[in-house]
Amino acid sequence: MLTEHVTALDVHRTRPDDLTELDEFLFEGSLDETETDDLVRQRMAWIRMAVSHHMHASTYYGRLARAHEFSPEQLTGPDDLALVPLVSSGAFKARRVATDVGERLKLCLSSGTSGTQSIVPRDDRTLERLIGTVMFGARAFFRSRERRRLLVLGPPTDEAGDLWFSYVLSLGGLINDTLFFVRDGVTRFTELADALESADPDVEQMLIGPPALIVDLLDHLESHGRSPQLTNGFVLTAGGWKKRADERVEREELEQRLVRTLSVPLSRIRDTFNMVELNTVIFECEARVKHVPPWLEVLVRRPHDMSLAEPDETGVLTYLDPTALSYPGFVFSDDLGRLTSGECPCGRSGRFLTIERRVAGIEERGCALKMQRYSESGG
Amino acid sequence: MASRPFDERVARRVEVETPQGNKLVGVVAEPKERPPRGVVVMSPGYERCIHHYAVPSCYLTRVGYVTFRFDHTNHVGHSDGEIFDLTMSSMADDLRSALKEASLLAGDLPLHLVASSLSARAAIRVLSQASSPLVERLMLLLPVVDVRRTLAAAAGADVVALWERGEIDRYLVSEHVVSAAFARDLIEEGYGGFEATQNELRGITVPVTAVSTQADEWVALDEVLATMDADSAAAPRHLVVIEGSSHGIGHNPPALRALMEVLVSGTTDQANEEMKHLTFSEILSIVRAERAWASVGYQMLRTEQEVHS
Repeated sequence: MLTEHVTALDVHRTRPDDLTELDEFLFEGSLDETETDDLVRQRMAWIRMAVSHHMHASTYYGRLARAHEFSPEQLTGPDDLALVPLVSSGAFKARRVATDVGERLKLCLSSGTSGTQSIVPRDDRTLERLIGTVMFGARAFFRSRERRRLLVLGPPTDEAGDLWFSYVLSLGGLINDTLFFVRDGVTRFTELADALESADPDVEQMLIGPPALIVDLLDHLESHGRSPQLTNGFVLTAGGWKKRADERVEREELEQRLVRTLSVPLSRIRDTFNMVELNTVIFECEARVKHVPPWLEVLVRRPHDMSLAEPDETGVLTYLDPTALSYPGFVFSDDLGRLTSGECPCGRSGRFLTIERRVAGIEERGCALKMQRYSESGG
Repeated sequence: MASRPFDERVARRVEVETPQGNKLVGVVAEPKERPPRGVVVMSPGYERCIHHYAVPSCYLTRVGYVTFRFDHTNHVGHSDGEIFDLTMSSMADDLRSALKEASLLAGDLPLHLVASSLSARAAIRVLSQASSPLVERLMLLLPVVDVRRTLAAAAGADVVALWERGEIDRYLVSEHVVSAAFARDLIEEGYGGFEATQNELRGITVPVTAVSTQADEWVALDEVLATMDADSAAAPRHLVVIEGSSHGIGHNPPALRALMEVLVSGTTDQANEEMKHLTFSEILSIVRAERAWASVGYQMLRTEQEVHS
């Protein structure tokens, strides 16, 4: 006799404990940059949560907040974000800044262009969120796709070590097929040219590197009479000129050479921005405007007194980045720039960042001192 | 010192000739330091290859499984054929070949099948038609239960309807152009809607665990629920719904970890005592190495050898 078994379906719903609303937005969200009240409130909530986390779990930041007589409860409206205490680059250089997350940390080093290196500790979740910011930007500005190959003018991860810029470049291998053209300390321009010329036309090629090495590549290609076509690809510059600042060429000149030598359309030449203390990578749209992602707060401060600048006024750029867990991502940068908002020529609306130059010379020393005092004395 | 996943296993390339005369390329990974507890066949989803399942494979070898990953024929990857000629029937044929090869590999060890996305539908067809159970347990990751509906979501149009009206002979689905043979095969071989899937699943006599996501843009969760919730199922049915994620769960690390927990507990039937999540640097190492292997068709794995990251 055949016995029919009746089995009930066992259904179990689960939400991962480590998937916060911010994580879900990073990994699943899309860019709709209209600065609605909801979005502004959400950003403030994320930052408030992050501030609270770091105040409780970071000895340094807790002390800093107390020196500023600051508490997260003061963050009742968007204007209050200016009250969030900021960490100076000097603190990162002095290795004083970390938040206890109970895990192994990767110590991420700046290039030390200004003389000493910043050291920023990152745990796995903070690194995952960094990737999340990259993939969010990729979805927004490049369309996520598997049929893309990254050609990186940088070393692979095992050679990049702890140097942040090189390490971040090497993480592209998590997302797409990636070739690295700085290996064993040698930049391999001929190999890169070969790769460009033999590329599968159905696979989008994305050339990524610091502008100095991009210029070196162009010099190599032009001197060897080669002009591989990157018509359907992208060129992403990253990292600035760093120790080759004296060789800097204007962006327009670099772009003209890229268009001439690689036939890459102007709209596909994009700069990216990141710094070791920032856990978010900022991308440009097809109009080559840097769009500030929804979770990141950018506050511009006047160098002479650290007061908040007006919209579109140049000042020191500071960031409130809630994605960092193992260090407080509320930082001063060494850059002067502007923040604007409205509608971009690309059709998206939101907030836009223009980075004008590094703080330099007497201005640098004075500014750095002011930042230090502002940071550590409660303003 | 952090463990290196590659130190824990041995990997080799395999080739299987299918009854259709095609070459099916696969990678077998075995735990190095312990006797295997079973074999898990891992069948990839649409536009997915061997290397996309490197991380789940490492999770499974870490708890003692041999994994057999393969590239579908008429698909992306290193098996014969082009994705233009993909059909559900060719996916099902591949699965039959892979399972046959894996059963030889397994011997007396338990054999499990983990099928993802579109290949989950093929897996249900294959197991429902088998005269005796081919596997001890079936896991369906983000299963497509209504192929026509998912195809329409991925292609942005009801491809089957366009084909039926004679308006197309090919269509762009995600990143690849697929011929109308896919739509024709769908209709002629009865892959149709989720009711067909439900009927076939009802006849599978081994435990089935499915994992879906709350916000899957390509698969309707209520259809998965309905498909799994078949009265008179002959063996236990479990459905885990991971909230806060979509079909592309690989880009959501917390959700992916939750999926790995279900994968390990679903195959071991244990409460994840042995489970230790891979670290960020381990995942980076694995993904990088596997992409490098894939770029040369896994030829570096041709001989049985230790593989180090």
